[in-house]
Amino acid sequence: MARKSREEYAKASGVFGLQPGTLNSHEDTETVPERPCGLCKHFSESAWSSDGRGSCKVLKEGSDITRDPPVFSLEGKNGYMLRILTDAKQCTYYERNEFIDKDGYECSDPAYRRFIRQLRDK
Amino acid sequence: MGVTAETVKELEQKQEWWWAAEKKRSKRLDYLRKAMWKKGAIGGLYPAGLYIDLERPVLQTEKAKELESSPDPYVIKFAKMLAHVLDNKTIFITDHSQLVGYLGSHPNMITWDPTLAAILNHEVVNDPTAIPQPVEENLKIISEVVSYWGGKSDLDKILPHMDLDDSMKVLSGAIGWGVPLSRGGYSGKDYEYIMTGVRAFEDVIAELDRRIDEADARAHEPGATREICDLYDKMNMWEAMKITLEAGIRHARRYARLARIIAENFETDTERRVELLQIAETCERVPAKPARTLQESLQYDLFIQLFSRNEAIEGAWPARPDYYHGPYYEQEVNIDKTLTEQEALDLTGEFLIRAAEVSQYKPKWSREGLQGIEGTWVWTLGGVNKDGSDACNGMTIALLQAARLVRVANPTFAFRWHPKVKDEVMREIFECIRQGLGYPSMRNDPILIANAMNWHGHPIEEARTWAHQACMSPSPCTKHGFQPMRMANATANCAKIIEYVFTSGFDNIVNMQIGAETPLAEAFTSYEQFFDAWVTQMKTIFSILVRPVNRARMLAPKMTPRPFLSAISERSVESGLDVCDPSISRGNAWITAFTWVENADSLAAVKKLVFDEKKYTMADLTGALAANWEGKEEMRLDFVKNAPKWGNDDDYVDSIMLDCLHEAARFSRELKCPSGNNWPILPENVSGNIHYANIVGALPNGRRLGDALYDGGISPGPGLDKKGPTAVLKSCSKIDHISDGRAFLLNQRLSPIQLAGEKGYQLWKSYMKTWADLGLDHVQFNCVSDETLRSAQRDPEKYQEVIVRVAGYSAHFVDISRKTQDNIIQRTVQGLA
Repeated sequence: MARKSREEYAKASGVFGLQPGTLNSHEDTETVPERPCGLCKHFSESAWSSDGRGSCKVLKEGSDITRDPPVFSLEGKNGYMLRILTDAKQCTYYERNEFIDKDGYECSDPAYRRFIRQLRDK
Repeated sequence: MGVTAETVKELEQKQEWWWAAEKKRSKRLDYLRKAMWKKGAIGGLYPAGLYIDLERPVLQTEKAKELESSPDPYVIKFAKMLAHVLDNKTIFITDHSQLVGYLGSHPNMITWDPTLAAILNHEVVNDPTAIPQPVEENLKIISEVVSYWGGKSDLDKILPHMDLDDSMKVLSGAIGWGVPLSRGGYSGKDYEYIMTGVRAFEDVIAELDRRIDEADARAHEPGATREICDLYDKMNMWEAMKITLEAGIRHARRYARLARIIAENFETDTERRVELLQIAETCERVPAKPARTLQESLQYDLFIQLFSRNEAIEGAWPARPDYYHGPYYEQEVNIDKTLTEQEALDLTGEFLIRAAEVSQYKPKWSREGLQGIEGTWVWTLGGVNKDGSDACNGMTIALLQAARLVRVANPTFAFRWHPKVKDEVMREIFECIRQGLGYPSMRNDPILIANAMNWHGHPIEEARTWAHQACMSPSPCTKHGFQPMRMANATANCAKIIEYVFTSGFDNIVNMQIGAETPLAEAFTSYEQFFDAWVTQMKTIFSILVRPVNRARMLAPKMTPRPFLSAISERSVESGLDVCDPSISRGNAWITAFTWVENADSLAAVKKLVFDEKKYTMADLTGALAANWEGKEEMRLDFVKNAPKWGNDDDYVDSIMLDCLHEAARFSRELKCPSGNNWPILPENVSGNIHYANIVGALPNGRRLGDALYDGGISPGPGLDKKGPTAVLKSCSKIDHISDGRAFLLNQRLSPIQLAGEKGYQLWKSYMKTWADLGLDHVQFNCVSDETLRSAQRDPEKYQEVIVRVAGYSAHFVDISRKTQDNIIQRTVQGLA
């Protein structure tokens, strides 16, 4: 298996996206789109931290829902990395989910039990 | 005390120990205990009333910006940033206190260090409960701090130098937790250097000055060698160390000044004025000069711990307080009689409270995995001196008594039992257990000293100085033996080993190929093939977790230095190298093995029901697991009820447990840390069994996705140990606790009714004798009835002070999630014969 490039790792992990200029402004972290990935039932939040990373359980690595037209890749193994506040307005696979643990005091469930400040009233 | 002895007695008879303690402790301790803010997260979030402290991140950011154009090397810039915080942070003195110091600006504030990881900073941004008012205004401040540190934090700097594939897998959160950072984990201390009363900060500064002058002179002698080049770095490191020590002295003297100002200008109570002047004198003395009294010794220790936590997030508190504070206790209480036992008890109780309130904002995995506490402050008591004689002293007893009075859940104690421990000490330990503290845990000192020599080659005199590096793992407190940073990401979620055998290493929860691509499980035609795949997955997961730690240890001295911790470590003061430099450390690494026993129970189920009895095929089982047992309930119950389970003295499954441990132990000697030493495994859990419940898929032991995992170590699954406490001990005794791994956690629940009175003590003592004779290294007890725990679930306000043993730590029952509470109630209550 060929070694991935740094850019490919960045996309696949979502971790390296936290560089200056990418997601650090007040506007970036406070703007909640109409259809945030964090409210989709296919979004699986990072099990490690509540920094907003997660992956899609339907779309695979190589997808890009922010492009126009969007790219939907359903093949491959690894999930497509997204953020809770990613705008999913172009995603045709979007299905809104309801919180189970609304107060957030239970333990994490990557699939169903996420709670972050920006989505408190959603 | 205003309450009749009968009232206390009644409460004790009803085993309402927490109310009895409230009435028994001094007015001072009662005030201080009630003035303390508990800081542990419940589930994943901090409880109401706690807020993230923005003072420190603002101070750090303003200094970092100021130093951007400075010609200073990074280590000196870092030291100056630390000094800036210590020189400018808000300080306060709690009423009635005799010890001072806190990380935050207010007692209900959780400190946040933005220099560690952009990921952590984004957790702060997303936090739904702890952003202080006014939220909108403070969010803007947070955004500015987050923006500045993006790309500049330790993890951002380190990650690009790591293997990116490994990093991605670690940060998925599926197979482990923690970060490979020298400023985020468990920092041991070179107590033999800094806590024996021989030297304090001014002595070290004098030593640093001498070394800098000598190096400078040597660097300017005629000649040019590699050694001379290295001296430049060493001089910078020594200078950085000195900056932090001087800042520490200045910080303490700010407290001295504040205490004096209050005493001389505001305090009207004569007694309190004397106490404040005593605080002033103490803080003028320590940490600059060695302690002379118990108060000074405790204050000195507290300053060291706080300074170190100003430098790093420390998730543990390795300490041996009776050993290092004991001489002051003996001198003042028993020889000079300048301190009464009650006064010493007040100081000791307050020391526990000051430690309990320490808090640093931590990532989700830590908030969930260490529910109800701030970190594993497992303090080590008892044990032996370097010559093998009993090390217990008056301070050992004072600490055990103080714990019962203040009833904090953190720190907890772990007691190094050995055959020379006196009965009076054993009775004090028993009282703590009987009164439901869940601590001390009991550690078998001769076994663990032999273990330390076996796995890491610590010489016996050094091995005998050991303290708990975190919950369980011993580490010496000596120059080359102590562990400056145990990076927590060598913590394996071992249930994934067996899960991955069925998915060829693909993780369905985080959508990632993490494990080895072993053959499809359906294709296995023998148990041996199946077990081989298990070994491959075990080796793969352990390697993914260990490699980043090794790499980070090599990068740490230059990229994430620890000038303060270096300054209190003989090997760094002597060498001019950062304390994490592997070349000056013997190595004391271990892999924490969470969710370990699921493997033995699952392997046994597959062996029996698939390969021996041929009741099911591997295809049947793989399909059932993929479907999370849905539509297969009858089959699932077969795997629960009709497969042998660990902890019942059943050789069928016990031999499989040994096979797993032997394979892991063999591989542990192939894995090497940068110091060249081994990586033994250490099965234990904190509340990782709950954190991982929704991250581990269905398993062949009958567990479904979402079910709590076992409570860890080598503890049998809750309710699955059906043959009594001796059978549990016998299963556990088949393990060689010296050579099969680094340590093995065992949780046991005992009946509080059975432990009542002298008879209860004798029963427990007899149990402990069996435990010791069988050569187990650890056991810890929960001794709270189901009735009390269920009442606490129904009416938490009335049971705020009930403490339970969760795993390697204790917590107040009301401070853990409902799922964790249920898991504790589910554990088998063992009757002692």
